[in-house]
Amino acid sequence: MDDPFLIRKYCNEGDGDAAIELLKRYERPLYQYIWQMLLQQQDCEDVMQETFRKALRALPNYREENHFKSWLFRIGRNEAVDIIRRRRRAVVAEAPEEYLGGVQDIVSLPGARELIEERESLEALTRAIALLPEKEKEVVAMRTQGELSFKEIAEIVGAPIGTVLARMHAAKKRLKSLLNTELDR
Amino acid sequence: MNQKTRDEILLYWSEEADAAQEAKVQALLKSDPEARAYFEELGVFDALRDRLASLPAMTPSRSFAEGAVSEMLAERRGWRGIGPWISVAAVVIVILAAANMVWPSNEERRETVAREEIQEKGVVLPEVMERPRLSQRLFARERHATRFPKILIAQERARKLRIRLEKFPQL
Repeated sequence: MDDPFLIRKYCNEGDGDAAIELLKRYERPLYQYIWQMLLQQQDCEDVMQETFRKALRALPNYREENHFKSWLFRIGRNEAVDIIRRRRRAVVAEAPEEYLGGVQDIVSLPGARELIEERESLEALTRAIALLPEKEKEVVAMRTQGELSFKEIAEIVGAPIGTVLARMHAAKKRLKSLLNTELDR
Repeated sequence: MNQKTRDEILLYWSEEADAAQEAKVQALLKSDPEARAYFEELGVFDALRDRLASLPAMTPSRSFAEGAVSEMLAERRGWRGIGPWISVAAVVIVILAAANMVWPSNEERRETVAREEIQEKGVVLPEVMERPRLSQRLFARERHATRFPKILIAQERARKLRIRLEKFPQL
């Protein structure tokens, strides 16, 4: 069942299962994209809840055939941007231990050394992402975690595809240099 | 390597390149080490996706879809419950508004009678004496009054004349 079919079922027949199926398709990528933008679980959950609520309210007036994913991400992005502006937590707000797990949990495990190295590398990665400028970070997050094409990203951010590609180039260059610095620490 | 080529490599990596771009990039990757290095560097994004996706924090702790849909359906049911009452209230308001436009108010009736009296006769009771009695009668008879304004005005005039006759029998 495609998106427009599920939308019609929900809007015309009030079919809740159709709406759940529709939203569940994009729940995980949207969550991951927002998480990467906010790096804070509570904020991320607030945004998810508000995004789905707003989407369901606006669905009866939705007219963008076959662009539901972009439309949903646009709502999510606006919510995330609001939180970033309001709470001023654009850069890492949560201690990495909270989402990576504490070192003491790892040292007792077999293969602890590899796990610690892996953890350090992940920390470096999340720190590097957090240091990216907002506009570059959102393009990276949408492309990698949100699984959106560059064309879709251009629609969401309201910029030409060339600008989106330029931001991705810039992010790649910056990430490369940030990761080198982080891993050299 | 210029910007256009870098864009084409990026689109190729993202599997969004058209047939012509795809052929061009594939040829370039075979012949140009710089292009090949650039393409390989894009692997950082694949690593980013795979490694971050494996984090427990990247998995939603609950289903937001189910929560939002149940909430919305409950809200809809709530509206459906009070919906008919809102319609009834709207109809009542429209009827009252229409009646208010057609029906003369007590004030209008009083003014008409007073105006006619002033025009036809010279004798008018002091307002202090006349108004309270007139209002009392108007409100007491409101429920049973005929619905045509002209009749109401005539009734009011007759009543006032009766009052005067009672007060001044010598006239």
